[in-house]
Amino acid sequence: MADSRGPRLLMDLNNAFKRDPLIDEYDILPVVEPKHNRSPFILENHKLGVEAWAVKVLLKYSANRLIGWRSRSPTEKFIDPQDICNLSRAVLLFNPDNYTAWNIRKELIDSGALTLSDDLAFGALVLSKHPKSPETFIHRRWLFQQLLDHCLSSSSGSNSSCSAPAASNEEVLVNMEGIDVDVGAHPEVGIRLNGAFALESSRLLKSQTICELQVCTQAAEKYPCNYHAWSHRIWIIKHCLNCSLQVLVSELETTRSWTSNHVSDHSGFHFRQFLLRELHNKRSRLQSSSSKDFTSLLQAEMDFIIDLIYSYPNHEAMWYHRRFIFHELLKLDPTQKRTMQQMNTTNIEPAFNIHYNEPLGTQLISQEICNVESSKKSTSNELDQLLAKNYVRWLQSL
Amino acid sequence: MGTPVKDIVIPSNAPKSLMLQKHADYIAAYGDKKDDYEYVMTEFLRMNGMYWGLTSMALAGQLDRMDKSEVIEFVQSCQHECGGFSCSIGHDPHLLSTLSAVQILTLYDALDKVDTEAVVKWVKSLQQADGSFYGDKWGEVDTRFSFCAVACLALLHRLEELDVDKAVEFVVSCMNFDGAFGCRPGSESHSGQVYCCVGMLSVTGHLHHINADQLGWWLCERQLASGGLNGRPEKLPDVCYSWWVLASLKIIDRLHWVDKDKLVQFILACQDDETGGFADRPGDMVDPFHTLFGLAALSLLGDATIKPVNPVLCMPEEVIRKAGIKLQLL
Repeated sequence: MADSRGPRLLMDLNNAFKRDPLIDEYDILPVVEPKHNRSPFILENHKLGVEAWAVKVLLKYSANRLIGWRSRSPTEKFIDPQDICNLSRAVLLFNPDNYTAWNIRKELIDSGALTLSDDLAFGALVLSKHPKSPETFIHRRWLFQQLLDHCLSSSSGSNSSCSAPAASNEEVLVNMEGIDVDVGAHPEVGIRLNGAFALESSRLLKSQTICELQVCTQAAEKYPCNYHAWSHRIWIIKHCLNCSLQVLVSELETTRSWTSNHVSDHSGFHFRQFLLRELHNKRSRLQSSSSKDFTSLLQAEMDFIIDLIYSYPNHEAMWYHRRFIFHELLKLDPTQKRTMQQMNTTNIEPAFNIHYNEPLGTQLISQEICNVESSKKSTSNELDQLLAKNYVRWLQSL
Repeated sequence: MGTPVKDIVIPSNAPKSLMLQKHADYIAAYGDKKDDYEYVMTEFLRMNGMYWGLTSMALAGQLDRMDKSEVIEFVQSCQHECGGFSCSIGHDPHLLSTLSAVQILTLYDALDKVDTEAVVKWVKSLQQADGSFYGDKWGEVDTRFSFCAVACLALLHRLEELDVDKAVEFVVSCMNFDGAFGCRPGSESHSGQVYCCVGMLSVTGHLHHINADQLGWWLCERQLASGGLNGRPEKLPDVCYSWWVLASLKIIDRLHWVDKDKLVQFILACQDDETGGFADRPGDMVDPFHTLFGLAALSLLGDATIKPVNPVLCMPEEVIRKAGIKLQLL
């Protein structure tokens, strides 16, 4: 059944975006029946509200036309690219995991009817309402891959010695080392792709990458344990920032306060685990370039998490993070392990027996069990006792 | 200051016995409202939804209530020239909907109704040099797609078409220190991804890569005081994880590590005794997704009124046996 209100609502939505291209948030207003003489769209201070009844009509109308066009239905054969762009926007605002609608936008980008920056901005808007939409993040990775490919082609065009894709890719990414990542920074806006794309692409990639970390932080803030936001952040660090040492160190610093404000968010802690593992891989360069030593980073992380565990009891996420750090400690070479052990012995109560003739790893495990057992005494909380017990059982299984 | 523990309390009036007939009636009536807004909202999941519904009916022993020819016609009309299937007519092909399509056709013993040669070619074309799989031509990589690819080709008896060793190598590279798996190398462990990776290693006969005690431990820690299972630390319990976690435990022979009675109690409490169907948690809205995974989990837990389910492919065991598919279990 076609609803004659559809075309009008689509036009109203398009007009709202024309009136304010900087809409940064939107939501559905709980109005289930149309009210006489009142527009179902409210636009104020860059925020768009759409009444619930209108969303239903608009989505059905737009999705049917868009998918009708996609399947070459005779009635929808000829639609202007700008209209396709608007139809897909109407669909994705309210149905963000409609992957076909995102694919249609990919084709609009390929054909030049839509710019990468505009689509990144649109996706960020969708995430403001749907912070864990997997398809929105998937589409963003495709957009970034396009930016990377453009950089690649422009750099291999300007440097004939970089004919192998892998080599030129490396070169572009190494150039990214210079980025000073401040996740709070505002990116440059309004850079548009045009004929001079290749020249602009590297600059665009840099500004969008910085912006993307902010998009991830906002999505993580809006939805706890946001798997998609954090795994997207890892993808960005790997692919757009080449896991550069400077970025890893800076991310480790900036996410420290985030995790201590979100102590039950395992995804946030896991992100730090990713950073620490990458820093472990780069530990010799870390030492030579910044005189930071990986062992002390790891020890600092252990102190950080132990402090958090005792400040905020009852959180499994932190105990899991502690498992990871301890697991990394066991991977250190003997000299570093010895250092760790010496840093730790002051905490041990004399009643616990450490057998110093055992292998170092075993000694560290016994020592860690002692640490937990002695602080367990100070908590009477049932869940925390259980979490500590599970941790000890895990240590014993190593 | 006490922090609320992330779990639920089962209401005293929650259902305590299985209402199998109600669930079958719920599924049988589900597809009737085609003009609904909900129908448009969930269209990107239509093929998966059909697989959930039909498998629920098959597990309830009532598949014959569904319109077989209508289903097969729908599946046929979703196959694209490239060989892949889309979630619905007019949408784009994807590995996720392709596996569902192949599962539906296997359920009906109707694989001859589509161009399986084209499916094989297309799935094969999605494998990358590092062994991973794209979900479609646009290039997203995820261990879910590794499972979809090998499961599809196993059901088509064409697994050897893939570079299985490389595919296994990629999945193993997504294993974390806790023995569990994420969506890509270095990604956070997640029960849904664990199921896909363990299933993938089972289909390909490479379960020896798994540290069953370590992974079993992590999976068992997903059980909360309410008896329900969550997907990651400090998340709420959800019926679908009863399946992802339980099936993984079954494959690695650690099913006896969870408290079965409490889990059964939790799953039963997620039924809606008026409408039929299961919800994610007691009192929430039911849907076909949670209905299938509720039924499948109860089957794994030994409910004899539900047909035995295959833990790797989430299909009736008898269908898998008849199709002659061999799957490794520890």
